[in-house]
Amino acid sequence: MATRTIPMNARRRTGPVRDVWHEVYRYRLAYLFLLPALLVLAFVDLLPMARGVKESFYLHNLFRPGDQPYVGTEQYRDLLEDDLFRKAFWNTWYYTLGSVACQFVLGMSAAVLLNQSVRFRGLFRGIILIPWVVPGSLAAMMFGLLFTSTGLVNTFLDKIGFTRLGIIDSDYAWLSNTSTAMPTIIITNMWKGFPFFAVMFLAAMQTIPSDLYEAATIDGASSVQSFFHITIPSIRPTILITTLLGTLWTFNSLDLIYILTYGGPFYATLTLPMWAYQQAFGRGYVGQASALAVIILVIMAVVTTAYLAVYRRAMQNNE
Amino acid sequence: MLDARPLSQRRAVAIGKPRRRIEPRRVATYVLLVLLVILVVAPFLWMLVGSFRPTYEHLQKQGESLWIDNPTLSNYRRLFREYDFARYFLNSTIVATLTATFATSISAFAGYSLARFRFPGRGLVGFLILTTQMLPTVAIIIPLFLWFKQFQLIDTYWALLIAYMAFAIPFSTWMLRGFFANIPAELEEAATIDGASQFGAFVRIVLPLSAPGLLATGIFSFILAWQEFLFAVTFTSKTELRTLTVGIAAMRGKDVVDWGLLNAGVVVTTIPLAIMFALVQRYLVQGLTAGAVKG
Amino acid sequence: MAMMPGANRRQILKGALGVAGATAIGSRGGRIARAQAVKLVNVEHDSRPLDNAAYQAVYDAFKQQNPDIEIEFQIIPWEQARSKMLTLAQGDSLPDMGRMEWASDYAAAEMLVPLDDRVDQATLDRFDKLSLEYGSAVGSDGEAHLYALPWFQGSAAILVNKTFLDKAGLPLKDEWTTDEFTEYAKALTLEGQHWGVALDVAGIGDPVQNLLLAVYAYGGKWVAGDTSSTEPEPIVFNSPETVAGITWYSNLFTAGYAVPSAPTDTYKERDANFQAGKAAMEWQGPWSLLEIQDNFSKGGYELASMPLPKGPAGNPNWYGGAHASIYTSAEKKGVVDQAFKWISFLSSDEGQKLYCKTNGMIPASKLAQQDPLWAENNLYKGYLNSFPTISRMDPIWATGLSSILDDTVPPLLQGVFNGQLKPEEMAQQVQDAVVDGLKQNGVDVPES
Repeated sequence: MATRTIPMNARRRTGPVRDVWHEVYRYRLAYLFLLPALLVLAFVDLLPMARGVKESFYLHNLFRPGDQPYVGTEQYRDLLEDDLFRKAFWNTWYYTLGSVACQFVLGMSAAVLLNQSVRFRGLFRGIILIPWVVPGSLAAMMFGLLFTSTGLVNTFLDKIGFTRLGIIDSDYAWLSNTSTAMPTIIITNMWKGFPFFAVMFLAAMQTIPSDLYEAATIDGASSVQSFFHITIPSIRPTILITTLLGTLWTFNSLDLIYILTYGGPFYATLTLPMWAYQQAFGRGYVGQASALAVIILVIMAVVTTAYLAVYRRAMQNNE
Repeated sequence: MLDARPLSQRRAVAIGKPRRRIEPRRVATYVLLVLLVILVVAPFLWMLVGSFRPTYEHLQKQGESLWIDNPTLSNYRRLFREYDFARYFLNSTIVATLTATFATSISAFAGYSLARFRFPGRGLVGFLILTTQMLPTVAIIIPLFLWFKQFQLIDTYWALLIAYMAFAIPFSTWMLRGFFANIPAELEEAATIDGASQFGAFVRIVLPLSAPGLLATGIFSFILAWQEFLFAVTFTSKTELRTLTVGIAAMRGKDVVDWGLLNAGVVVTTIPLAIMFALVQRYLVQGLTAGAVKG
Repeated sequence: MAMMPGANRRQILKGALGVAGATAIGSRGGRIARAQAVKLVNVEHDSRPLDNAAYQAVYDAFKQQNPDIEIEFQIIPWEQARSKMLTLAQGDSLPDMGRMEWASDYAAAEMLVPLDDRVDQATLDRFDKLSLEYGSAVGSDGEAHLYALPWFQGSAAILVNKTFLDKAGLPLKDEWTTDEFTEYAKALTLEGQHWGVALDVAGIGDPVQNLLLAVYAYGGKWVAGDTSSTEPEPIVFNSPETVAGITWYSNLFTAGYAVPSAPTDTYKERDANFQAGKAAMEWQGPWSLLEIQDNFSKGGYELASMPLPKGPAGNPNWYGGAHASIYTSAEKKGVVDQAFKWISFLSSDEGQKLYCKTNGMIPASKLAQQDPLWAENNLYKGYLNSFPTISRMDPIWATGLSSILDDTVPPLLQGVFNGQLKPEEMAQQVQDAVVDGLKQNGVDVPES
């Protein structure tokens, strides 16, 4: 990190308190530059969240306006004791890790392929990145149509002989069976999300100096060895931060599940955010939904902290 | 600038292999690329075919074949006549453009601040910015609605703009911070010695040098705003403020779905953006390469 | 309209409405509309092009009489309708008037303006008692009020693909039983061609309502007493009758007579499958008959309707339709009078006919229904004949019941369909969720 501090003329004063204010004054431009961003984030994210934390201790029900008694941690207890919580918790990880793993593998493959010398590289890259610009709600509609029992996927599997081999029924309903609903959503998410991974990895790969590869080739390394010993270590920071962001975004994302299954069949795709949405907007239990949101936030914070520790270590090893 | 030469070419130069020979590896690369393209394009193609299909044929054929018996443009005609789709398109464009512009400007300042100054509380700010990425949308949507109501922003572009900015700023700030960190500080030091203020040095020297990074960041924000649905449907009610995603959701009516119309809507929403994206993605990769991913 | 405080709180809604009629009218007109145009916002959840045209037809006629009232028509998509309306209510940003789907939910959330003393007896007499009941609810004051006027109505019938029935040699029937229905579904399931029936087990509204039709046909009930009573009673949903209803309904799927994607298909795919000739029968209201008929004729099929199949407890039907309300934001803006002018015009015979003629609905007014346009059309006949079998099954005091059911029933029913949950387990879990949810919503449900 090439962070350089531009010295500013200032006289030193004594005392720790004065020192802090002195420092703050010294860096007033830094704070000024940050101010607009922090204002927007405080207004849209932090204040509403603070309000949400407060509401999680009150019985706020849309069908009982004006009647919001303080209930302490009761709503948290109710949630944690609910069997659905455990189900939704593991579903959320199934969905998140499954999606991120698929996006990672496909994104990395795409990045490696696009980093080769091929004709029409720009065209390939342009096409492969397209799913990124497709709104999630539309991607869900598209895949929902493809995966119905009379949809194109079954027609295709039928044509290539899968149904004759008895692997699946020709009218298999992918989203309606508890065992295949989540994988189908993950496939949709893979399609939608892998370009982000691809573009980040591709950009990172292009910063790797070519003489590293040349030296490796002269030493007799195969391209697989080069990939694992040069490419991966060189882009490790990007891998870590992209995976972290992908995980955070996926964990909280709702659009695919909302349109494809709404948490069904029989809770097979019910994730924590989907559950919170149903609580708040299906039943009007804003207080309970807020408690669930706080729980989600805590989970995210724990994961992120642990992840960042790994990230820092990786960065240090890298140096 | 960066070395954009592709890997195998570099290697070919290095060990002096004759080019133009059919290597199995190159063939495999093409095959895999084409497979990837098919994977990406197939759902689109299906929608594209569907958009030229009359709805009743849609119902009958469903997923049975790609052949259209009675191709028609009526779905598109109706999209623009019976629904105000041009208006939705305009709204999405306005909101996404404004979001990209504002979010990138604000993030440029924030990113510069984080990249150049070691001020007290720097770590805290970084953490706060990351925290906003962890918030479930469900948690903030009702409080946010009440805020916007208080400031009379409901049913305006502003509500969407502000909400989307909050989503775009953290990532953009992080990207641009990496970008600015890679610009030698000596350039600004030289300018400040010549009498420019630090602000002036930032605007006149750093920003122009960062054009690719700013463009890449802007594209990110634009895509983000273009896709959003939940905020858009919650914060706007007026038909003339509908964005594309909300407009299409409204086509899935209570009792019937006009599949032909829906497919045409999906095509109109995605294809122009996909084409635009295909044209600018080069800068996106360049911007990322020169900044964010360069530790 | 004020109930006697301290008096016996067990009030039957019909009586309440009678009082409303007696004290109504005459006291109107306190406020005089200003000369300048007032702009009102009308909300709707359906957005078929035909619906827009229907509104336009009514609005054009309304404009002639009320040049000083301007109306903006807003559409909130159906799937977001309830959540968005409740959010809007939180921020005092409701539309002024228009479509109202969930009277008891909205009344509890204080979103609706009571119409009791604005509506006269002659107006009320034009409608079925039930259609008024569905526009009524217990407000946050604990008393029943009329909150909405109906302008079109419907109920469920079984729509059938007559072409398939003819091929299978099955006759159309004016009366049939649930067992015969199963026989039909079986006979109409042809491997590789079409299924007997299209069901939907996910989504808002219809999926739950259609299951409940089966439950009611087998004698399942929410409460033992009169559903029009405003006094809470024990919930008795979990009963052998309810279990029998769920079992019959889910057997259609597990026996393979229904399109396999039922457990997550939204009702739109149900309808698509029926219109496409992938399924021979479906439960359906009269909401999109013109479109269905159009697609049927293009596909070379003939459309017909049959009444609901009778179970041991007959074939009680649900009431469906559109009600127009005035939302509380109109009160804050001081435009209740103007808003009332619009909703009463929309629900007048003239307004209803204009609307329904354009988009193929059935008017709610008994007088308007006698118009040959509806009375003599075979497709509507099945529905008109079924109106007498409508009975109110959900108690009027059950605040937020539809929200609770829309949230609870689909996943459980999916479990039954997929064989992961027994019908009796489902009945118990629904009952528990309803009791718990009603308590959360502030209703004192007595233990049974």
